Amino acid sequence: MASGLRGYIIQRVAFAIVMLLGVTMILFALMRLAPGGPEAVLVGGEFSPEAAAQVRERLGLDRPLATQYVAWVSAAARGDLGRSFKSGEPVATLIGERLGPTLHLTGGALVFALVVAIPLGVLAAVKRNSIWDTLASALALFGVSFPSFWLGIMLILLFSEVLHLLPPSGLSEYGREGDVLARLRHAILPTLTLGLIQMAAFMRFTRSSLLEVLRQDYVRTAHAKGLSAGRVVWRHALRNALIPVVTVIGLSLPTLVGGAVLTETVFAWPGVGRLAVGAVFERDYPIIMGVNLLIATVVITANLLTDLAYGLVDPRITYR
Amino acid sequence: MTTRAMLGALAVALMVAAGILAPAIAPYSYSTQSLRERLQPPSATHWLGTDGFGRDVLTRVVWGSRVSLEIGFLATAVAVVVGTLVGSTAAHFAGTADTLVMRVADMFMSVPALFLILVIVALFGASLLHTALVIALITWAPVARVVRAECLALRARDFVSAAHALGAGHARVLGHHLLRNALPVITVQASLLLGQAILIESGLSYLGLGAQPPLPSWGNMVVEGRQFLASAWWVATFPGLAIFVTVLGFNLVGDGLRDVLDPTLRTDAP
Amino acid sequence: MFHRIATALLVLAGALSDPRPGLAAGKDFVIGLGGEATQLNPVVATDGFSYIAEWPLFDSLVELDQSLNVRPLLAESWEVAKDGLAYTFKLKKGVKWHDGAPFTARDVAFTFYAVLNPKVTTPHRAYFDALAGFPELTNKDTPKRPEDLAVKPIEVVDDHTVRFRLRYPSGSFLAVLTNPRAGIIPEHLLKTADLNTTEFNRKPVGTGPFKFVEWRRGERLVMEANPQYHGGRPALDRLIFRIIPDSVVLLQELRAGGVDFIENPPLNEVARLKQTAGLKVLVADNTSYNYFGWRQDLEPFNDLRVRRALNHAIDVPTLVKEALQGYATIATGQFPPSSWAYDPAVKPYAYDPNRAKALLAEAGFRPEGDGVLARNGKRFSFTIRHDQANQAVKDTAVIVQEYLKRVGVEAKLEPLDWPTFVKKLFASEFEGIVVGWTNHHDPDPFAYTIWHSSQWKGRNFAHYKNPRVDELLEQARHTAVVAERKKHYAEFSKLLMEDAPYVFLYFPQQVFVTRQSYDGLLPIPAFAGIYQSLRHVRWSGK
Repeated sequence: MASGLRGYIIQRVAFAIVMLLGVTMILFALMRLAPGGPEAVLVGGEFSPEAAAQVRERLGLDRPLATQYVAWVSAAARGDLGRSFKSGEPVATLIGERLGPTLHLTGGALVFALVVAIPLGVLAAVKRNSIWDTLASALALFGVSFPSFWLGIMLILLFSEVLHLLPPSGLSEYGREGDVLARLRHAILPTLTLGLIQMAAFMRFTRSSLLEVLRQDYVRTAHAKGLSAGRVVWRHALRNALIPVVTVIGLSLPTLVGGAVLTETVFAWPGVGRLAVGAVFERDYPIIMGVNLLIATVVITANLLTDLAYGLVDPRITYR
Repeated sequence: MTTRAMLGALAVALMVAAGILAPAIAPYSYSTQSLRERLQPPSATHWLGTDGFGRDVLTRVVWGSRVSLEIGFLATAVAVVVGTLVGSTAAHFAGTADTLVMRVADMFMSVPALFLILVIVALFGASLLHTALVIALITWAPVARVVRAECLALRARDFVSAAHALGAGHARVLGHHLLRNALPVITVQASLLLGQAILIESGLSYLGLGAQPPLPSWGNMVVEGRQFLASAWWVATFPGLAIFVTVLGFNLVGDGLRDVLDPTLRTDAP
Repeated sequence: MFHRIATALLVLAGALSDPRPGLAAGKDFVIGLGGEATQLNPVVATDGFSYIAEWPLFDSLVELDQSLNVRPLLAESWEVAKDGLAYTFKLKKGVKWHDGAPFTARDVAFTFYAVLNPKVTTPHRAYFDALAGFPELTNKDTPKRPEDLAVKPIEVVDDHTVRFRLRYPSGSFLAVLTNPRAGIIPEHLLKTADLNTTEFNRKPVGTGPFKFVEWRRGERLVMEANPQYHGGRPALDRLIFRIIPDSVVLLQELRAGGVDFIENPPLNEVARLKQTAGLKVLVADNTSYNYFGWRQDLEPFNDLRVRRALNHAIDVPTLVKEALQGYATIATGQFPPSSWAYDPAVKPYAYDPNRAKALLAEAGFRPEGDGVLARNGKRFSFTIRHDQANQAVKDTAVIVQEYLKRVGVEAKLEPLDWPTFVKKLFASEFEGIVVGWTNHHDPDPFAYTIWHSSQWKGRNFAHYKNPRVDELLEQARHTAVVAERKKHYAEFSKLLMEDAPYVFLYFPQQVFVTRQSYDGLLPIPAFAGIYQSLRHVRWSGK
């Protein structure tokens, strides 16, 4: 059994690495296929074909595609993600600086969404088809029926223009980066925007998942044993119903790390999403590949860990 | 079906009707400008006012219904067809094929959506068709996941093994047994996807992609109208309302369908 | 329990709603920009946002006043030789770099030799075409070094005197020595560096009124007052550039107090902003213009009647009045009305759709069933390519398309992202385009490179060719006598309008909005000219 397990792990890890290479290779090729290149931004307004050619040569873009890819991969394996074509700053630094704000935003939104959505989902499931169910669903669906940039600007107008309560955009104020309260004030609107949108999926899911669990035998047994409805719901049903929620969170991993582009743009939030989109529009390949590598690594690693966990835990899975 | 779902269906039906009948019911042409009459508030001649180029907002909202719903239906159709095929095939054949196929789906999901879209639009240009295809590209994978999960569950049931025992071929088992029974799940997914597609299209418009002027989509109308929010609120608000009502409608219908077909459907399962 | 939650929320709301800023009111000036600088090095930077950010950090030899005349900055005085082939500048004494090192003539020589160096990717090289030895020094394959030349273009006479030698007399030479394209960079820090990639570009050191403090990419750029500035310490303590990509949110930040200055707000809002207490609107003309152009050598654009018809088809005055709220001037050619080269005698084509249709009929076009014109079986239908990210250009393209439709010409809009657009533009892969030129306050740099037939591989991607125009442009380039240049440019403008290679459209004005309580901002009718006055900005306390 032990060698089977080891074999399984090795197989899965190898597969993960192959997937990682595959994803990066595809994106690498796709990017190069897009017309135009970084020279448009670097040579700028006084564009000339000679200057463009000079730039491409300096950046190594005139080498064959395969050579460029191999160079990138071997550097990346050593932890060197190269330098931005546009600014010359190390890609790892650029991404690193943006990761914090992105995680604060997407993480905060996730927490908000869960904190609001799960109780709502429980309420809707337990009081199915009653007025509570309707209200809870209405609340959840509200956020998901707006485009995020629309919701964002509406919230900004409400809280900044009308109520004069919150700042419209930005991470914090200059000179007050350490001030937690200032940062909190700036984070409220973008987190709310993103969170309201994510809420619906979580609420809906909690509701249906809980409904399914509530029908199962062991729950009825608990009822029969005389446990109160509340205890049944909270202790037995909910715990089991929430396991799949973890999977749904897993589905939102790319956004978690890759940033919510639209929200970041509206709120001038210096996150990874904005960095990546700007890089695509400017053909800043090292940044694009760097962000892609980051997200793919996170997602593939998460999948790998989940696979390994299931493999270890579930005796029915055989290691072929 | 609950009242909610009925209301949702009604809203959707209204929008779809508006879109289909657009050429007949729109009072003006959607591209005719009248610069001297720009940013007029709602009035008898222009029920929903005029926009930044003097075009009639009502006409453009009605045509926008056509464009946005066209993109939405096309994208959803492609995503559902591809996702269903991939998911059900993976579940049916299981084993290595299953793993391989689902890993490909995973790969799609681990490239941030907007990346893919931007690259493809830069390569092929932004047109209605491309926008729809690009939206399908980022939404098929979750559909495949869901269909696969449902088919895996169905596979475990007796009637499938019975069919095999009776000598049914792959195609028959797949088509007749698995898919027919997975149809409820697929339908729910489709209705939710329709709403999502409209939202994605408007997000693309915000970034300068999506349907291109002068063709009106609700998405690009909202984006164009944002700069006038303070002085001419109607330009962005009416298309924004249209998006809200339609997406809400699709969501309500989807939820209603799910409740009717089986509230314990694992429609968001991995 | 509900009670306690409510109280807690109220307390939280109270704590959070305290808007006391971390910035010192009046001492800090926050500028909101929609995009970000690329590099902070005047020799290599190429985009507008970099130009804006460089201005407070770097000085040039001379600067412009409100009438676009040149006046001293780092150069105290200058002498021009009688034959116009030598300019000797006496530099200000006692000027220091931000790191304390003394500024000398060697820095000037270093800067401009760097611009001429073909290894450096700089957009400004062509502006110095008149310098002696230009072709030899800038030759890509076998560039000479300055030491190898018999006549050196730049000579360090002594620590505070520098001499430029030209190979032909040029009236634009002084004009190109101004910011944002001619800031001086320090030799002692960059002598051995690769200017294209050096760390200096992200941590600049200049002689300007403000010193670099920090740059958090995507978020903000911070500068502080230079107490040693040769023009006197600025009244402000700090300049903070905030990057806010969404223009609606940017405007809201101004209203909420998060920024003190923005440029180019949505034009529909300007009237409302003028009425807003505490804000003021500053307007200036600009050199840049937007146009609707096409490939001159493609059918049917090679027919003069067609080109004139296209000009008659578009109602530019209404466009300017309604769509641009009057914040633009109608363009009649390459030069803005504020330029000395502008000739008011050149009139644009009147809006006359009937005349347009008549001309097109004369050219052999007949309407088909759907109203679109056709000639010899070919429909008058073409694509208009433009930058998808530029809102003004997008709107203009939509308006142009509609006017064309009314005379039976079918134009399909094809927005492209910037790298794709630039590539196709300079490869001349287009039919119609709507685009703009940033232009220069001196007529020569752009007029020559856009309209001379030798520049088809460069800015003349529309493939315009007129031998008389070539002659006039060369003559205007090779003389320093303003009266002569003016005469040549007048005839040039007349010919251009007769040839109708573009529909010239309009020169948009620069519109700025800032707080009433800040004085000293002075818009200048050249690109980003207002940023020159940042060193004079002070808070009036009102």
